[in-house]
Amino acid sequence: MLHHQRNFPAYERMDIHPQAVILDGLILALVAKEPQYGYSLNQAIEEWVAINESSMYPTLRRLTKEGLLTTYDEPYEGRLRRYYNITELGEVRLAELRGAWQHYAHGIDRILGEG
Amino acid sequence: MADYLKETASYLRSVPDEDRAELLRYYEEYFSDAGFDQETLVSKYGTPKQFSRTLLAEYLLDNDEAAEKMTEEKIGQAAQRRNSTRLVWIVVLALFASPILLPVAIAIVIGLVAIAMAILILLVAGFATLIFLVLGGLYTFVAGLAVLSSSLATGLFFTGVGLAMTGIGVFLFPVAVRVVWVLVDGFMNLVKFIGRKVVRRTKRQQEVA
Repeated sequence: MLHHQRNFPAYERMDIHPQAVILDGLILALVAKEPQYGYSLNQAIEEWVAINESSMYPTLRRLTKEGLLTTYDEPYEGRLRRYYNITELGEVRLAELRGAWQHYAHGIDRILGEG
Repeated sequence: MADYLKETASYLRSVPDEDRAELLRYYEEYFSDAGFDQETLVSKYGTPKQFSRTLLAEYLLDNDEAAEKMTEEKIGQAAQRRNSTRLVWIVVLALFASPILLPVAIAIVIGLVAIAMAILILLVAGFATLIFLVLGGLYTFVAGLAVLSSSLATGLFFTGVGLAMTGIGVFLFPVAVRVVWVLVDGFMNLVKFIGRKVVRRTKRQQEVA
């Protein structure tokens, strides 16, 4: 099948920083289900897959700057906890990433899978 | 824990106040929620100084990517190159602050210096050749004119060659300048690549440890 050879939009190709793009998707997916704060996000992801801890903050910051996430603060035990919420733009990006991931995973399966 | 972050902050003065405050605030919250004690912090993230280097490297790497992505037209080429220069120093520092064996770190830095020098030599040689072409061409042209009276053929030959040399030299000049920027950008990308590897590896090693 030659359908996966050319003209991929940037997110579908996922060839430059696959880890970074995947992290975007993980964060958006979790936050879409319910608002998360830094540590809860980390724990939710680490429950299933190990990630580079130190890239969490830069990614969250970038996603917020790009308008895919919004933040709000809530008091907790005498301090403020910053929660992250998904935006409409974020939902759109999430859908894109989901599609891109399916395509990517399918391609990997084809090669790694049995037979 | 508060002391750990306070000390880390003291090493991050080169980061803009707003960004630094946000960064530290995130980790303050994170460390609190995780319930890390001093020992765990040091085993996970290294000393405050090491941690600050990691944070600084990530900040510059991320900023660099963001800057390239969003403001390629707004930030002038010169300003981007200045940011890249800072990045080189930060990466070198991060390299030595990381758990990577010192001989390996030194080898990497020496390798980078060697590449930089090779590029420099190449450029000097290139420009020297161009200058030779232009000046030599002018000289040949003038010499040709001088001979013109005694021998038409010889004179025409030399003026022709002289003009050709000068023409080629002048024509190739902007090409050479373009090559300079391509090599410099390539070198910067190599440094950024190494920086990313060092920072990721530092994190992984400290997590395993």
